[in-house]
Amino acid sequence: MFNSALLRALPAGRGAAHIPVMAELHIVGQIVGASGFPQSSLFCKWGIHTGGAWRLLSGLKEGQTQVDLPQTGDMAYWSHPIDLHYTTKGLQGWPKLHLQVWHQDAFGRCQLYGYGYCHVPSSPGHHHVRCVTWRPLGSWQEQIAQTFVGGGPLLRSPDIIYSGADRYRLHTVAMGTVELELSIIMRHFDRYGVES
Amino acid sequence: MADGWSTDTGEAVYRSRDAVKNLKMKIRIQRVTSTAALSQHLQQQVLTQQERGGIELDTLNSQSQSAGDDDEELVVGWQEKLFSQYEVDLFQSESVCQTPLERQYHTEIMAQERTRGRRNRRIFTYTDFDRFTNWEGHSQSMVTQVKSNPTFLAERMANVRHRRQDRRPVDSTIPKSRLITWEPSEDFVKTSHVVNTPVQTMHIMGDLGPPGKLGQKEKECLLCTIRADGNGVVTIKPDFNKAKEPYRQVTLETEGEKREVWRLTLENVSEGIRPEEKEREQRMYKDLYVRHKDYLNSLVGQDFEMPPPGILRLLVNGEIDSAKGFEYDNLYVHFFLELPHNWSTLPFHSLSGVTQTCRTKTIGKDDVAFFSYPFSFESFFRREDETEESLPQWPVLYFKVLSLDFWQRYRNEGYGYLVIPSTPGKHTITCHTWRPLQTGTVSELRRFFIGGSPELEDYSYVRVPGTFKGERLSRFGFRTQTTGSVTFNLHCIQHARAFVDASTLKKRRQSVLDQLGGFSQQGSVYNVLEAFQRARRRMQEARESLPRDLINTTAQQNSESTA
Repeated sequence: MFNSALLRALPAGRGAAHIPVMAELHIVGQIVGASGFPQSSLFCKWGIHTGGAWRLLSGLKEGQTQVDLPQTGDMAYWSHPIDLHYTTKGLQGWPKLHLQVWHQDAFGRCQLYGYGYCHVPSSPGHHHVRCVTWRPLGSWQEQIAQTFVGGGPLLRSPDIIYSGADRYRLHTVAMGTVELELSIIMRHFDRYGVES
Repeated sequence: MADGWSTDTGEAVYRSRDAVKNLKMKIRIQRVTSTAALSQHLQQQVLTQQERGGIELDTLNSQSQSAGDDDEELVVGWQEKLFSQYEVDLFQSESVCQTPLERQYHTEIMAQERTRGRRNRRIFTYTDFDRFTNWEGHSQSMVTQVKSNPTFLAERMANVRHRRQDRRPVDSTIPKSRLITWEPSEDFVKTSHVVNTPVQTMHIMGDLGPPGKLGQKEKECLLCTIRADGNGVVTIKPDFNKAKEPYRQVTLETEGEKREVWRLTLENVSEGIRPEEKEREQRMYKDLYVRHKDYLNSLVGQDFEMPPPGILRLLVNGEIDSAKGFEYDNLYVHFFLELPHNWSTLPFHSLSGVTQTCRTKTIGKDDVAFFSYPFSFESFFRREDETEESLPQWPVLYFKVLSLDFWQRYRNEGYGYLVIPSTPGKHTITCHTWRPLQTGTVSELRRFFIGGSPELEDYSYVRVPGTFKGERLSRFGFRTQTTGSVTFNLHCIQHARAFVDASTLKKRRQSVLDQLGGFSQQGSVYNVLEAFQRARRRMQEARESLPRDLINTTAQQNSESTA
């Protein structure tokens, strides 16, 4: 008869470790502001995109900041809070942040000033993230019209840009930078042998 | 006197999850006179001698309790109103009472006199509703000045506190419309410019006049202040001192009478939670947590995808951030990842990419192009040959920067490479690039007018050519020109089963190699375990198919043999 003493003799923890807890990720921080754009009356639409293995437990994963018009200096400050709690069962599809910076002028018209994409940091701690932005360029006629009237081409659907496979078709121009401060807290990732 | 005083009369802050109305405090004041001191001194002496069978204490005890007016001990509850002699005398007649509160006091005092009399003599309280509590903090100044008027802010805050006796429920919803009040009223300005956490206060006072002449307002001394706010924070000044030295309370000096010293002791006698209630509460919490954990588990599932044993999985999430310092405009980056010998990747996993074409803008002295192109790839490392002692080679990212302008002239702007860092975490790396040059003016003219340029046939020449098999790499004769730089942000994650063991055994991990070095041993142990589990399962299945009585007899035999 097999007895359980044999099981105890073998070291525990080798092989598959079935620990019934899940890996959790907290993203806590703020979108501080943006600088380097031609005009300074800006607002930002942001969102976080994850893969299929991730589930959002609490927090809002997209939003829009207020319009900020700085009186002195170039940087528009939003201080928009980000507070998210994810749980996951795989490392693929790590959260990515996408941003759209818009400009609102004195007449209330909005025009796009830039798209930006970056990964959420994967190591725990405090990170200062600077996400650069670019804007699609049209033909030279459209560019001349843009200087007078505003507007400009927009992406038909921003989602196709996440994978990067279709990016080579775009012709863009560099715009400003968005600054974020994010604190990352990772829980139970080390139980699954993840080093980050 | 021989005994010491406690001079630390600072505030103490307590937090309680229970309602503050269950708070009960025992106060004891005792006048310090020469006889009391002497008897106490004798008592102490006797106590030390008692082990040797000394004098009986009864005689000494009776002496110290003779003066009943100099010693009082009382248990006071939260917001329990106890009247002082002065108040009793004042509210005896109905004509004095002006506010409804005073009339209520009058009825209470009358009722008290009719029934059993007062519970207290010297110790009395001012509750939240009395005039004293609101007036006291406002008029006392904080600095020693002959004449000090309270500042504008102090006056405002006193008014606000006085008004906010009723605790308004704090609403935590953010109004979706009308965020800004364009015309704030006076009231609104007052309530929102000052701090107004609603706090309930209670003062315990002592009438420390000479015995027999109680009821003088000048002899009232503040013994203890208790403040409680709506969140269960209780502030007591001074703190409880049952086990420590008593506080020294000194009466105010009046004409013709010397100052007197009293001893003050405070003790917390609130009832603790009963054990069965505590157990019930704990069971409820445990239930709640278990249910929450089950809910979380049901959302995602408990399995975390793990790489096979003995394999290191490297996950790189990165982005190509920007490029600067290049000659021409409309830049794009074409990159690919090269995996060395022991590395593999999933099928259909693309390891290369092309960014968009970006027109530069001028920042300072440089022309910068922003790409913000995220990429991510994963690869697996498996050490094939264990006897090899060399370090594993990490994947290399080769990239090439090109420019494509309006006239569709296509130019090579530079080559560069980036070795993926071997430590996990966030890395921001700037790589410099160069482009190959051909001697002579013809190629430069061609590059300017038409746009062709010499290119490398084998991109790995940038670092170490793939065909290189010697000891010294020589690039003598190869001409290049320095061009700009490209910035990458990389977030590297390493994932392996071996790391789980390190953390559970609490060993300090030296390097990836040490952990992976024994993978074959791990693999063999794992195989043995798997085989054992399979055999056990087969045995169990076979056992189920056996008839019942056979199993019972074998069990009996076993128990007999071990007996």
